[in-house]
Amino acid sequence: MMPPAWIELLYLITAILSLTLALVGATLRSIRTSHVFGFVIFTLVTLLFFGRWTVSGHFPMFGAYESALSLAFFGGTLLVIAGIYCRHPMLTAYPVTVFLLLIHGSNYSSKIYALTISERGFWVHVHAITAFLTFGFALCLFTVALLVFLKYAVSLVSFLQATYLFYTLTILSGSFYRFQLFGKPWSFDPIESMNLACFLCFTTLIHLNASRPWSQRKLAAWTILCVVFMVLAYRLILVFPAWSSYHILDIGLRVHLLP
Amino acid sequence: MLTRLYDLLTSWKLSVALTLTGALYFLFLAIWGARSPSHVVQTISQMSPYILFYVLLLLNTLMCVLRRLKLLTGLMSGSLIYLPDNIDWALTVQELPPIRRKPRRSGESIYWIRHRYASLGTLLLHLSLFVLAAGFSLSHFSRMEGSFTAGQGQKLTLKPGHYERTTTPLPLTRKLPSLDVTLTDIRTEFWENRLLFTRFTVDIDINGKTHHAAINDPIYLSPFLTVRLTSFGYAPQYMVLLDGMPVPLEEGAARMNIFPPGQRDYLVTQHFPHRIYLTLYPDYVETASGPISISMKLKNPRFVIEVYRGKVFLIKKTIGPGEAIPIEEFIFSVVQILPTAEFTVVRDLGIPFIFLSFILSLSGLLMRLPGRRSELMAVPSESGDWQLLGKNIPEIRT
Repeated sequence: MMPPAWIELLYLITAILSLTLALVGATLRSIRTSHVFGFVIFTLVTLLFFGRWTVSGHFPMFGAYESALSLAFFGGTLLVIAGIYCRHPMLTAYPVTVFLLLIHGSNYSSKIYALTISERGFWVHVHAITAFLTFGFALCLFTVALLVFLKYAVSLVSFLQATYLFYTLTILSGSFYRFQLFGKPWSFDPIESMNLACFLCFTTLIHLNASRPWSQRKLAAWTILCVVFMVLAYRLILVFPAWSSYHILDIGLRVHLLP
Repeated sequence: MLTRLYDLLTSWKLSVALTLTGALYFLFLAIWGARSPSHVVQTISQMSPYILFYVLLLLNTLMCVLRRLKLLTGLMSGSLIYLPDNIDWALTVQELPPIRRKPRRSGESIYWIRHRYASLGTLLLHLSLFVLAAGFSLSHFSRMEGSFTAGQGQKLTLKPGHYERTTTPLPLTRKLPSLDVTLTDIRTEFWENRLLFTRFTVDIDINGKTHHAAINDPIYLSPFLTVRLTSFGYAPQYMVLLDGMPVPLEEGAARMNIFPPGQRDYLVTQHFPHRIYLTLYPDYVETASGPISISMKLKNPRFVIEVYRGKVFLIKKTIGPGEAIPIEEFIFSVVQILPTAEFTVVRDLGIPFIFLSFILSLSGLLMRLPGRRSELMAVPSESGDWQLLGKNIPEIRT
């Protein structure tokens, strides 16, 4: 079933407007203006997210298209909360992030399918939501690292610890769900291995900073690198062949198969 | 030399080197996983470089924890450790600011300690690695699986040797348990007319107790024993009749691989050598290009039956439940179609330890999240003011 035209139009408007506002903010070189633009884009993303939820009848989090929406929504939500908590312009880089996510998501089908049996259940929803929240924290981390370079007085370590906690929770909840679904907690599925590699990068960073505390700028630079690796670990799932990972739906049978 | 080895094994530099090496190892494994079958990746993950990495990581973690144990347990002390000498900032105030926590006294001074158990979080997090390693090791030497298929309404008594397929027995698990099973109900729903399960649940009695299972909701018979719902199918209930005989010569339900629609499988009766191939169409429609099933529901079920004796083709016919097909000297009839479910019994001694390690590591991280141990001390001065001293806590703005 194809989604209604107004959702597709809203998607397009959000993507175009996010690029436009990102370019305007960059041209004006104003952090505050970019932050305000971020709020505008977040409002549109929220409308898009709940609109998709309404028309599809389920939480929009599975599949390349819906996961792009969820990443944008959860990312924005955490950036807004972080901005209120630490009183910094956390939505500065949000418009360009949304543009990249929505453009990537637009390469995939927006058709509405019912959730399959392996996409239903409490634990799979816990796993997916913690994954989206982790991405949100990673966006916060990225923004805070940028603010460090812009000489804002922000604490990178607390965001790093929160990101690490949620990343751990994502991996552990995924492992538990894998046991529920396939009877084994780990399989070295490429998505599992990739995210474990990224997790160990964050572990290395935390150990390095704990053992011999780095300057904020040095920590910020390496944090950005780890966040980029995490984004790749999240989205590279889409270039793997369907047979290689149970994270990818077997399109023919519409079930998650053990490869 | 022993001192150097000890220093190496307890150094944070080795920890960093190991975690980075692990990141590279798993990145290679991910790339391999995108190009090779799963069993190849599993084999690679058990090769010696990976085992060596796990052993070194555990050894380094153990040595680091032992070396820093006194420091970490000391940080949990209820008495001041850093203050009054090792301060981050000092401030003079006329009145004490409102501080929520109840203060403690040290002579005339009062003090507060926050996040006292943060170092316990560090300990729990690192010790959880050992519980995790113990869990996976136990799993490696004890995991055994066996599968069985049951039709709706069918009663089975499974003895250890009666499972359809079992994995190789391992040192800690030589056999699977005996189970008395009655599959009381199978419920399936499909989305629109597509092969997309939106519901697949069963009610099953195991050893006299009723359980409910779904594909992602296994039955836990014990912390070490689970029964998983793994597959769905259809089984034709058939009869073999002879002309003139009032009772069937043979009847039963055949376990066949005939789902999803279009799959072809065969059965051989006990009395005749004929191979009877069946293809099930749950919602049969004849089209120009041949028969199809327009949905997954048993609305208009039909079997396309082909019969061979050796290599000789005998007959092809389409029949429904309750219909019969004459085959040389006997008559073959499909009575009804039974939904079936396949189950896998998993015995694994390591699973509870693995999940215990998850709880320990998350608890450790939660305890670490608020931050390191911080201390605040208020010392009265002769003029009636208070001197505030802080360590690991932001300067209080009054």
